[in-house]
Amino acid sequence: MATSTEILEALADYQEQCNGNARLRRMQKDWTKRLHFRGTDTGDWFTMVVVEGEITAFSAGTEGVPDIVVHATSEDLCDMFWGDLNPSQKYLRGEILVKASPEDVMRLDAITMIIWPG
Amino acid sequence: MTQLRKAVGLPTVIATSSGLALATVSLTADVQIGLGMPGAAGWLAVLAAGLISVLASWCFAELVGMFPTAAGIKLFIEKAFGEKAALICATLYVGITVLIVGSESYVLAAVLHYAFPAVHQAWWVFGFLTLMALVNLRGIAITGIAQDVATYGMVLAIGGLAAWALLRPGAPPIPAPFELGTGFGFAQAVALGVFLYLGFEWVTPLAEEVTDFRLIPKGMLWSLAILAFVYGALHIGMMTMVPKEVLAGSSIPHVLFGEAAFGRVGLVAMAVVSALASITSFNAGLLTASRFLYAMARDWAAPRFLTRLHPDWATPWAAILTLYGLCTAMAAAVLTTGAFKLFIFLGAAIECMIFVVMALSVLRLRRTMPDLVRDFRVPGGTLVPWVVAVLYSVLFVLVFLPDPGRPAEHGAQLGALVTLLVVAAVVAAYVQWLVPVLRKKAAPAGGQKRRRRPGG
Repeated sequence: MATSTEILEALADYQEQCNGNARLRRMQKDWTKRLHFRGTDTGDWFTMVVVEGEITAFSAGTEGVPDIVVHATSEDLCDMFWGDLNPSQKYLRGEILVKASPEDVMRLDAITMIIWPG
Repeated sequence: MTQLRKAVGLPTVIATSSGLALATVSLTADVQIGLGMPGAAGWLAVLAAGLISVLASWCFAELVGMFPTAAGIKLFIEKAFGEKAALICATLYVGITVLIVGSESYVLAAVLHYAFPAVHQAWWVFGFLTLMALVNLRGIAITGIAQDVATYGMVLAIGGLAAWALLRPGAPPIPAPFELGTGFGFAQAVALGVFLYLGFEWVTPLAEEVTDFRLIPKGMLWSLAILAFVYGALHIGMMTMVPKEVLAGSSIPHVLFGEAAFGRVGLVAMAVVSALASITSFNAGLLTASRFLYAMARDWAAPRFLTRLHPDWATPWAAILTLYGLCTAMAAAVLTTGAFKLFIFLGAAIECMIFVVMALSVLRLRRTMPDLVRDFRVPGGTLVPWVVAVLYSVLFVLVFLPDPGRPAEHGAQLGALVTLLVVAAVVAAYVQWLVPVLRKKAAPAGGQKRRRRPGG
C-alpha cells in the first residue's frame, strides 16, 4: 500500500518526465484536462491539471470538476507514475478503471507509452 | 464518486446505440429478411428479433455494471472463461465487424452511384473509405450532439417517409401484413433480423462517461424500440411500394422505395440517410476497432508496430491504416463479386454468437463472482441468460440452414459459413501460437527493465 506522500513524490517525477519530453508536449499540445485519481484501497484522492500538454499542478485531494477520473490501487497509481507499470494491461484486465471519453483514455495511455516506451 | 465535466445523458446513450446499429447495409438487409414470407409480414420478424435483443441487452447491462470499462467484451469473457477464450471471441467479433465494412461501403457506393451516376461506384467506395480513415487519423469522433443530430435525423427521415408513404390519401394497401408463411421461413427471418440490431451493444463503453450507470440499460431498451419502429416501418414501406422481384435482386431497396414513393426527392433523401448512416456507424466502428488493435498491441497480444501514435494527434495511425487496408481489400472484393449478401448472414451469425457468449458469461460469473457488486441484475434469476444462450444458439444455426423456398440465398449462406470458419480458425491459431511468441518477446524486455520507483 503506497502512502499519499509516496504518490505525491511519484507525481512530481511524472510531472518532470512529461514536461521535459518534447515529443509528448507536441502530441498533447491541444490537450487541456483536469484529472482526479483515487487510490481504491486507501481512499486517497489526487488532482492533476494539464494545460496544453503541460502538467501545471498536482495536489492531494479533489479540486474542481474533473474531465477524467482514474480508480486504481495506491500501489498501481504509484507504479504507474514512476513508469514501472503498463497501465494498458491493468486497464484491459479491469484493475484500473477510468471514467473518461475514449479519446481521453487513449491520450492518458499515450503519455505513459511516450515517456516510457516498451 | 465525482462527476465528470462532460457526462453523457440518456438522449446521447440512445442516439449512440441506435446510430451504431443504423448502417446502410442494415437498410438493405431489412428487405432481405422478408423475402421468404408471402407479403409484408417481415416487420413481425423485425419486431421479434428486437424483442429478444432486449433480453440480450440485459445480459450486457449486468456485465457492464460489474466491469464499467471500454475494454468491455474482452474483459467480460476473460473474467468468465480466461484470457485465451477472450482473445479469440473478441478478435473474431471485431474482425468480422470490420469485414462487414466491405459490404457497407459497397452498398453506400451503390446508393450514391444510383443517385449521382456520373461518378463510378469504385470512386465512391474508395473516396468514402479514405475520408473515414482521414477523419479517424485526425481523431475526429462523431459523438455527443453530432451523434444525436445525425441519429435522430435519420430516424425521423426514415420513419416519417415510410409513415407518410403508407398513410397518405391514395396510398396502396399493405400486402398481407400478418401472413407469416412457413414456421421455418419466419424463424429464419427472425435470425436474419438479428443483423439489423448489430452494434446496438457497442454503446456499453459509454459506461465510463454516463451520469448514471442505469442510463445504459435504459438507453439500450429505447434504442431497440426505435430501431424496431424504423426497420419495421421501412420494411412495410418497401414491400408495399416496390415489387418483390425488384427488391430481391437489389442492393439499394430503401432508395428504390424512396424513389417509388416520392420521386427524385425521396431518392435523394434516402441517399442522404444512407450517407449519414454509413458515416456514423463507420466512424464509430473504425474508432473502436483501431483502439482495440492498439490496446491488444500494448498488451503484447498484437504486433508492436500497431502501438505507433501520430506525433500531433495522438491517434493510433498504424492500427487505423491497417484497418483501412483491410476494409479497402474487402470493399474491392465485394465490388468485384457483388457478394454483399454473404456479409448479412455473417453479421447475423456473429451477433448471435456474441450474445450466446455474453449470456454464458453472466451465468458463469454468477457462480464464480457471486459477491461482486452488480449495478444491474438480469431479472428472473438464471432463466433469462439461459433463454438468451439457447435462443441465439438456435438462431445461429438457422442463419446457415438453407431454405428450400429461397434457393438464391444458398450460395451466400455457404459463403458466410466458410468465411466464419476460416476467420475463426485463423484467429484461434493466432491466439494459440502467435500471441505466446509476442508475449515471450515482451518478457525479457520487461524483466531487464530497472524499476524507477525508489526502493521498488
